[in-house]
Amino acid sequence: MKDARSLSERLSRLPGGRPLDASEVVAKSQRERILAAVTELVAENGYRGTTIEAIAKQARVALSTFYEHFEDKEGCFLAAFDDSVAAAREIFAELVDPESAWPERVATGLDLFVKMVVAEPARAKLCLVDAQAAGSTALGRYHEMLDSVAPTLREGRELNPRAAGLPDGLEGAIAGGLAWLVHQRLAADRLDELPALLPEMLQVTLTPYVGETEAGRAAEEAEARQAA
Amino acid sequence: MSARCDGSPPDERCLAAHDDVAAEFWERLWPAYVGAIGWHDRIWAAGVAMMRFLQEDPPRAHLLFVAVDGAGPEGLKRRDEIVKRFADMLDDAPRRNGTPGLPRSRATAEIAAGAIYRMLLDKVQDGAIERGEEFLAELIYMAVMPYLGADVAESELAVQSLH
Repeated sequence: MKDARSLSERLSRLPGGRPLDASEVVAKSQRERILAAVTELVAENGYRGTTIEAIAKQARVALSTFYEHFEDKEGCFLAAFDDSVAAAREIFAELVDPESAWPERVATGLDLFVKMVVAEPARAKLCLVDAQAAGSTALGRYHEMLDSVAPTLREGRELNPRAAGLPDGLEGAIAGGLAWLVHQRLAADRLDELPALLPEMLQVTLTPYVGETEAGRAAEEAEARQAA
Repeated sequence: MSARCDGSPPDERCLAAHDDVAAEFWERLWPAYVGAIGWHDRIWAAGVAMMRFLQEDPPRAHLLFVAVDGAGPEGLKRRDEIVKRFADMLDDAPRRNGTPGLPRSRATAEIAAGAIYRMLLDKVQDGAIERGEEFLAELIYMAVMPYLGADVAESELAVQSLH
């Protein structure tokens, strides 16, 4: 990994930009606290069981302050979702070497994905579990998030000479399958199982493009890296 | 009956209708699955039974796969039940039959089952059932690829008409 910041620190970092004046610093801090609060509360109580009052209380802001930042609970939830997804994308962009071979990029990406989920379970739960149960806009964004993985996976078709015959929806399906596996562990608080499943996740993901032998080799390498 | 169960709160009648359809769905799939000999033929038999069930009544297919998508925790629970039973079918038989290339845990079956569900959701949502599109071979591809390898799975894409 290129720098020493943990994945949690990276996920929590707000996007940079111009220097802020004092009132903007306050507003930014309030927004940050509100988003942290909604993430924690939704992880504990689910989207439906989380109220704006509870979010404001946990964030240590007045209700009126909440409404200065967000129109309603859904808007707040969606902002937390968007921030988390954007932070995760930044991490992938920083830490996955675009010059490396495709199987290696997939292996690194999956490894990072699993590490992010384990490091930040509340954020992961918000994005991968509760987004599916928080209304149609959130569900749409969840599906968009999964769809955004497909183009990277699709690059693997260049490695399979018969790729033209593969199902059109294969990449979206694989993303959906991986998400479901993680969803099950998040929903049942069994995240401790997840790292050990990485080699199997990698094997299923790579097999359509490089075949089961090479995929198996990549899975064994991932397992060896974990053991080391 | 509403087209989706995702109101706030979710439409109870819609969820109950989904439960009835899901029960019918498994009444058709399970006998087909256990009635065939060998895991590979079982997967095909279940797939053929599923496609017939969906094509007989496209609104029923919509209710089964699309209506509960986004219908809160109640919808997720129903979706998860279907995916878990898909995973049971994928995972159980290869262990019994000693299929070569057996993956190391149930996780492979879970990934494949989640992928199949995603394919079904996309196809049904997109109106593929109403248009009479054939996509069983794509589902079979996803089911067998992790167990039998890429070459065998690709060959499934070409043999749909034989089944």
